[in-house]
This record gives sequence, structure tokens and C-alpha cells, in this order.
Amino acid sequence: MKRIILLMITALIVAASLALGGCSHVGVKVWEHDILAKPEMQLDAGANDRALDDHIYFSKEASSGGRGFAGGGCGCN
Amino acid sequence: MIVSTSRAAGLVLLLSLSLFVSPAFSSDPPETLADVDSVLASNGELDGKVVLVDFWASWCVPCRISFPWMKSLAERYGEQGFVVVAVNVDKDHNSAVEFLKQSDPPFTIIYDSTGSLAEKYGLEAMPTSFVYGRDGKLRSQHQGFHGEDTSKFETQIAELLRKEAKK
Repeated sequence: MKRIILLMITALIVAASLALGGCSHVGVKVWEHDILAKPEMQLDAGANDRALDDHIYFSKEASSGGRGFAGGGCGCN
Repeated sequence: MIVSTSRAAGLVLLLSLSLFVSPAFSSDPPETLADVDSVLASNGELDGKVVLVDFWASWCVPCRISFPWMKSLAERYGEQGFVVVAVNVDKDHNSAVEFLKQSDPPFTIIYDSTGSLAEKYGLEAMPTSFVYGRDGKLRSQHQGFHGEDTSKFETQIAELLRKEAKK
């Protein structure tokens, strides 16, 4: 029984360490941005889309100011 | 048996951890110009020169902005032994060529589309430039391109050229 527990712990450590090591090179290096760096690839690339989304969101949630401009989010500005 | 398995597991854990932390150590740039020099067609071209190695890409806006400044530096300090080597990391060679047609820089361009040089230098930002003295040793490193820092940067280069003037 003791042996099985030890083996299980060992297996767990091995799995965890491999998983940890596997994450060491995740992500795009700074010199590899390429297409990702283009303006059209930004999450907020479409100004009109963004304005419409913001308008709907602020109206529904009464959260004016949530985008970072002046206002406390009370919806009264 | 159990002990040896545990030891092996410990070893794997250590190895994995070393892999995990390795990017932190890869950011040290080479102390000498050997890597850049080996890529240049004419070896020894950089001997006795103050060299600015600049990593750039056509998709990187600050890199594009920095070109006129580097161009002016190369023109003004070239005679005193200042050399700019611009390392292009574009995957798409045509994009780089297109940009170079417009800017027409008077300095050497190295193409590093695989990113092997960039990897060796452990870049953390674009553009990043490295200044090497006449002895080929690394003097300073600059990340990004900020218009307000250019005069300070230029002073450093001018000082290097003056202090290490050829005897």
C-alpha cells in the first residue's frame, strides 16, 4: 500500500513537473509579432464597432465611465 | 526501487524547473560582436568601430520611426568610425525590402527571418539596440525608441567615439 502511494506521488510529481516545463516557452516572442502587430489585428480595431458596443453596454449597465474616462460608473454623466 | 524512482522523479522535476526558468537567463546579450560579425559577408568589417546593432521589423512602428535618426547618426559619425548594423526580423522578406526602398538607409542590413540572432540576444522589446565599443565589447543596450531619449543616446555614442578614438 505504502509502495503504491509512493508511486502515485512520484507519478504526480513527474506529471506536474512536465506540465510546468511545458509552459516555459508559451507565447509569441517580441520579434515574432509580425501580423499580430498590424492595427487590424487589435482587439479594438473597429472604431465604429467599439463605439456601438460601448453605447449599448453603458446604456444597459448604467456603467458610463467604465472605459476609463471621467465618471464614476454611476451612469449619471 | 522506490527510492530510485523518487530520485528520478526529483531529477525530472529539477530539469523541468530549469526549463521553466530558462527564459529569464536567455536575456543576456552576447558580450562581443562575434555573432553579428559571422553573418556579415566581409569579416572584420566591424573591427575597431563603434557599432550600433539594431533589431527592427517593418511591422514595428517605433522601428520605422527610428530609421531617419539612425540614418542621420550614420551619416554624421560614419567618418569617426561609427557603424550601424540593422538586423531585420521580418518573416516576410518582401515587407522589409518594401520599407527599405522607401527609407534607403546608408547602413548594413542583416536579415534574420528565422529569429536566431534575435534569440541569441534575448530581445524583450522591439526595437532593441546594442552599442559595442571599438574593442568589440558590449557597452550599452536600449529598448524601444523614444524621441526624447535620442539626444542622450547620441551623446553616449559621441563619447564612445571620442574616448576610444583610434590612436
